[in-house]
Amino acid sequence: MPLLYGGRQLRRAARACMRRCSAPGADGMTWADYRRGLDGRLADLSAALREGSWQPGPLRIVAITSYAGKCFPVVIPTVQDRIVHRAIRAAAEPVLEERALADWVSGYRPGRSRITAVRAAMSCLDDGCGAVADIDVERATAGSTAQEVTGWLAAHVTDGTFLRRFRTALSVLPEPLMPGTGLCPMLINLRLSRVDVRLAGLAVVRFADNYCAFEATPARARAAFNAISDALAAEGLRPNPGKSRIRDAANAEDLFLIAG
Amino acid sequence: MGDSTWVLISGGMCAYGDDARPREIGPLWWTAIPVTPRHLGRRGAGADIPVTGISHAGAIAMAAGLGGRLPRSAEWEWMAAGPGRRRYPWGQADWRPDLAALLPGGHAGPVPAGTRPAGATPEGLLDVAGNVWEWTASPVPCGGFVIRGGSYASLPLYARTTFLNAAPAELRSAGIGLRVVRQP
Repeated sequence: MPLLYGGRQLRRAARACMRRCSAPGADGMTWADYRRGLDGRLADLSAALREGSWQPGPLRIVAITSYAGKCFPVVIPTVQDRIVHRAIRAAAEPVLEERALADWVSGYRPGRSRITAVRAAMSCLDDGCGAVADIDVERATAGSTAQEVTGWLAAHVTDGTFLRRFRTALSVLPEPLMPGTGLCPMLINLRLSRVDVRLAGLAVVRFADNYCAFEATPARARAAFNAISDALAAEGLRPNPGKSRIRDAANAEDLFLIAG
Repeated sequence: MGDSTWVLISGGMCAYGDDARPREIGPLWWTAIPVTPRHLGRRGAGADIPVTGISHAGAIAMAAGLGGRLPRSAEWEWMAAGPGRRRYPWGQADWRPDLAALLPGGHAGPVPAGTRPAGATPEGLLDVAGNVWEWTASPVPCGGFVIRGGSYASLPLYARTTFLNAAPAELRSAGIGLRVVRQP
C-alpha cells in the first residue's frame, strides 16, 4: 500500500502527469495552480489515501471525435485525481506484467507498441499462417462496475487497502473503463487478460482490443474466430460485427489499425 | 531514370498531422510513380508493377541507387495533401475504383503503376493513394518507420493524406514499396 500513498510515489506520479500539457478538470484547477503549494497538497493527499478519507473529485465529460469520425465521450478527472490514477497504475502495472499479461499482448505496455504487434503478426505470416481471424472487441470499455473490476484486479493483487482505494477511484466514473482516465488502458488489458487465458493453443496477437489469430487456411481461421468469440462471450463481450472478419490473406502492416 | 519520370513539387509550409503542426518543406523532385523494376532498368512482364518485398534498409539503398533518398513523412504529406490539405491526393471526393487500387477493388496484389490518372495529384503524381504503401525516412519507437498512402490491401481510410501508419523496419511486405525524392 505505501506504493500508492508514499510521498515519493505520489511525487513521481505528479511529475509524470505534469510532463504533458492537459486541460483542467471540473474543479477548474490547472497544473499551474496545483504546483503552487505542491508539497503540502501531496502531503494532504498522501494522508487522505492512507486514512481512507480520499474521495475522487467531480468529473468533466467531453465528446471527442476519432480520426475515423466516430464521436465518443471522454472523462476528464481533476488534476489531483490524475495523480492518484497514475500512482495506482505505477503500483499495479508491474504486477499485471508479471502475472496477467500474455507475451503476445502488445497494447499499453512498457516497451511495446503497435510495431511490436505487427512484428509478431509478421512472424506468424512468415510461418505460412496467412489466413487471419481479425476480431475487434465491441465496446471493450463499456459496462461493468467498480466492484466487478476490483474483483478482476483482486485475482492478481492481494493488498486489501490498495483494492479499496482502487474501487473508490473507479466509483465516481460513469463506467469504470470509460476512456479518458489514466487507468483506462490498464483496465482494458486487465479485462481482456481474462479472455486471453482462454486462447491457449491459438497463434494469436492482441493489440489493445484487437485480436488477430493466424492459421494456414480460411477454414481454420474461421474456427479460431469462433474460439475467440466464445472466449469473449464468457466475459460478456463479443466481436464488433462491422470491424471483425476472416482475411483470406493479409499484409502485416494493414493489421491493428483503426476501423480495421 | 529519365527526367520525365520526376515531378517538381514546390516548397511551402505543411500543416502536418491531425493537429496541423506547421513544418517548413523545401522544394523536391519526386518520382511520378512508386519505384518499379523499369526504373531499375528491367523490362518485360511485371516491369511496371511497383517494387515490393523490400525492407526499409533495402528501400534506402534503392533510393540512393536512383540518385535520391526516401521522403520524410511531412514531405510526403505536403506532396499528397498540398497547401489546401486535400483529403485524398486527388481532392475531397470519396474513393472510387478508378482513383486508386485499394481493398474494396479486390486486387490480389500490386497493379501496374500509373494506370489510374483520375487519382493523380494536381501536379501529376500517380498512385500516391493505394497500390503500395511507401516507406518514409521518419522513424517511430520500437524500430519502425512511418509508411504512407495505403496499398491494394488497405481500406480507403488509410489512403487519406493525413493517415499515418508505421511498420517494423525489417518487414518485407507485398504491400510496401517506395517513392524517391531528390533535391532540385
